[in-house]
Amino acid sequence: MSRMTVLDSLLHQMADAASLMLDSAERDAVCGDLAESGESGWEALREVLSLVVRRRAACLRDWRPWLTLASLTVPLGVLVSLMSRRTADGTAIYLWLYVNNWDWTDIHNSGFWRELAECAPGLLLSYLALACWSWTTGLLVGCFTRRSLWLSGGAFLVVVLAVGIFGIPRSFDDILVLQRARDFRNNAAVFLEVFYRQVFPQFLQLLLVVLPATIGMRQGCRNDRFPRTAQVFLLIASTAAVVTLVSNNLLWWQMRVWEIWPLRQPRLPSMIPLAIAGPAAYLLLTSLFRRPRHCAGRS
Amino acid sequence: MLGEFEYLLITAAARLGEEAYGAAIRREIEEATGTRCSIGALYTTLDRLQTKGLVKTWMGEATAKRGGRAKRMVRVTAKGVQAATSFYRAVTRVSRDVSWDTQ
Repeated sequence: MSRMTVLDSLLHQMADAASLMLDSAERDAVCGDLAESGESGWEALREVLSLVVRRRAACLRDWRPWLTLASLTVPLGVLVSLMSRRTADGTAIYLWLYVNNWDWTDIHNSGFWRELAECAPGLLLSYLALACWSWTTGLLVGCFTRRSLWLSGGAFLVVVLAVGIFGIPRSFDDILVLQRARDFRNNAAVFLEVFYRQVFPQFLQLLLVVLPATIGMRQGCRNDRFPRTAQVFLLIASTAAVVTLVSNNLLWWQMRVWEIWPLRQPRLPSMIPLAIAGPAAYLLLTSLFRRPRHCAGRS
Repeated sequence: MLGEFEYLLITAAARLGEEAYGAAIRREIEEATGTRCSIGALYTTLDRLQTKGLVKTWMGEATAKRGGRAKRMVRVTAKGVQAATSFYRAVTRVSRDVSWDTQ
């Protein structure tokens, strides 16, 4: 095979890869047109990229993606990221207790097992809740920004990672109670270790926020395979899950901090049942409507 | 009022009739104008015309010649015919008494 043929084949493959940025129906039409007209690899790549750029530019000119970005994507990204950091810091203490102070004789200690049995379910449930909330926020972002998912999804992930790494400005300390969740003084021995202070929160964030949210976004983008009433049901369940996220982790605590809430330690309703409402509704609908259909076709 | 490229696209689709789809329309435009028609311009203009209700598009059948990919079929609507007719009349009127061949 000559060098030119190899290059042409490589450029065709690049054009195919670039066409993944288009809706599936449009991808079919465009790739078919290119195959039919026998374009060279370079021409095919140029044609596909020109369409992708035009589509992206059209999205940016629309006001709706920007509204969704400001009202849904960024606030939820910040909240989920702060939640993830708080969960990681809470878990780090137990992890340090059990891993860094491990002693094989503990296995025979009934107090060790009793303590483990008391704290493990709570930690696992907080992981489950975080993963469910992340998936649900991803699903909502995907549902509302199908065509501009590259913008909203990208912004969501950037916000999540930026807040996870850099935190948010200290001026938010007075108004956002979750911001003050990182307290290294009371558990200095744990957080002196870089792993618990830096690495573990990022790892947990990638595993329980970025991964589920990315999956949720992809599934949200394809929710048009469900009938209209099922889509409404899914949106209601997902909204309920997000309301729990906001109320349990921000609203009640903010009310307490601002002394609107009369109790010093409000007893919060369990967050798990509503946190899993979105994923549970999705699993139910997926089992009911098994026939797959491609994303966002144009009629 | 239609744009120049919109008119070309509607006219090519009308000429092709039942066989109007992306690649065929592109060929027609390139043959008529002698210039290259980019797929980006073609499909974004098709979307715009569809939003205005001047054409209707739908996904057609896949063929082996197209690597098993479906075609995006196009049909000009009555509103599209009216808009193209109006554009053509305007161009004809404005061109009256002007002979480009002699200049």
